[in-house]
Amino acid sequence: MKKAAKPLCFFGALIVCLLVVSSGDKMVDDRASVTEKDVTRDTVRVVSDMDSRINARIFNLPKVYVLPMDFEPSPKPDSAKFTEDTYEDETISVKCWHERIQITKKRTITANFADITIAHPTQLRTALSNGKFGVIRRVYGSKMAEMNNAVIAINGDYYNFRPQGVIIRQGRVFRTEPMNIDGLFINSDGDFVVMNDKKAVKSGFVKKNKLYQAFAFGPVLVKDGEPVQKQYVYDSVECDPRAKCPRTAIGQLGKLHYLLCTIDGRSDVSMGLTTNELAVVMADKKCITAYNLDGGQSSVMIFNNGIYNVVSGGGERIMSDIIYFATALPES
Amino acid sequence: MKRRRCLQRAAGIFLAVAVMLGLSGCRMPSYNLSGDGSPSKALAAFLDEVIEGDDVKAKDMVYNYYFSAEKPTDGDDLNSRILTCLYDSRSYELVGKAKRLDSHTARVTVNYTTFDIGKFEEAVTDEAMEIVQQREYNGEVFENNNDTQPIIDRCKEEQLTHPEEFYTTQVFEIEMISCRGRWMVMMTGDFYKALSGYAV
Repeated sequence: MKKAAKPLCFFGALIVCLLVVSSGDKMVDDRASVTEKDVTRDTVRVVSDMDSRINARIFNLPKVYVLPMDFEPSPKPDSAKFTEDTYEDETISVKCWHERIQITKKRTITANFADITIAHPTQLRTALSNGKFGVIRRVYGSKMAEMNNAVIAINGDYYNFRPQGVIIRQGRVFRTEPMNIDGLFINSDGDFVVMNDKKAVKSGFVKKNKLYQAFAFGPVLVKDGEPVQKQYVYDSVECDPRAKCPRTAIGQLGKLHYLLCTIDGRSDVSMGLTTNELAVVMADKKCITAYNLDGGQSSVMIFNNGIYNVVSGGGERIMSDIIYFATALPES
Repeated sequence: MKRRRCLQRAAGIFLAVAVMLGLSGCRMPSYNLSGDGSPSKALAAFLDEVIEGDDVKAKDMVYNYYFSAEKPTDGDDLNSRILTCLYDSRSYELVGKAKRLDSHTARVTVNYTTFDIGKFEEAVTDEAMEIVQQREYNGEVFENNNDTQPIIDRCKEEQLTHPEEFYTTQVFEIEMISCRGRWMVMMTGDFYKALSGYAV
């Protein structure tokens, strides 16, 4: 029995071995279940659909809202998006705050700031009293802000207090008689350029460039990130730059990023600043460029149709123009 | 006596294993890893047919698909020009010798270069989006595909002036399988994607 088992074992192993080898062959030969793949057809289909995929991505881009550069009121901001100190929608972000700043050991002032980021340069706007240039009738800044749906506004340069000065508003050149002062020019990219207004006119800068706004007041406070310290009496403005006064300034922090500032003044709580001191304040806030606007009783900051600073002289003054920032979102 | 029986049993087992291995060896096809009839040559022939766009020959060279790679007819429209760029760009280089995996399979390494349609589309999209955004920024309104089509076409034209910037070379390790006495390509998803110019 044992002798017979040996050859049986041997042949059994032989049969198993042959089965294994032949089944491997079957696997390789079996292509019955393969599917069809047409690389050309697939490629042509993908190339043909390319335009629709690109279009889908284009129309999925965040919408760019552009406001017309005219003196018509801007779209109304969404009242639900206001907080006490902020406003934010897809096109504009505003953050306001009050700050006590110690200037000397004995003097601390109140500054009111607004940090603003907009999506498009047309959201940095100006409004004129009665919507027209040269109109004698002046109105309150807060009224102009409300009529134009400003999210935030400050007083401008009070252009019609003087017959001269290069004045451009909402892309329209209204006046080109220079006063030989620092002018602030805002181009169509929303960037600030500060230069002597006489030079700007003579060199053709005003004609050659697409400018949205130009202001005639000054002086320049910050240039290339450095505070500008004037050593002479700046004779173009009525409020002596060396006096401690309420002040208004506008600065550029970056691309479509701005800082507004008003300094409370002429009170025991806050005396006000000289323009040189204001220059240091604006430079400390990281402005690349900053410019002094009309001050004194004109200094006003209006946020959500309310006055955000303490206006000196017993209350708001009527004026000829404001600078304001608007939402670009269409009213739904 | 016991020791002798143990030795006999061991010898029997050894003999059985030796016979099994011997028989298996007899069934294993003997193939060269280089030269005519090698897996490398077979892959090269397949890629030649794909590059030529010879649908008939390439059809039966893939193991796991009925594979078609017919060259589309030339045209002047932009999409035809993209496909022409794809066909003009295709090239390959075999790297080293094939590596035997088992009795029926071998692995061949190849550098495959092609016009990358995916990369091209990305470049066209980026440029078109930038132009549309810039124009929207300047007040232009784009309402539907008809408004954007001229921009897309212009961007395609622009990108097609330097097609070599979209050439991509990638290393693939292709498994070749011996079937019915010849070598066939075991197609993978990645390799198929490369053959389509990274379109699919």
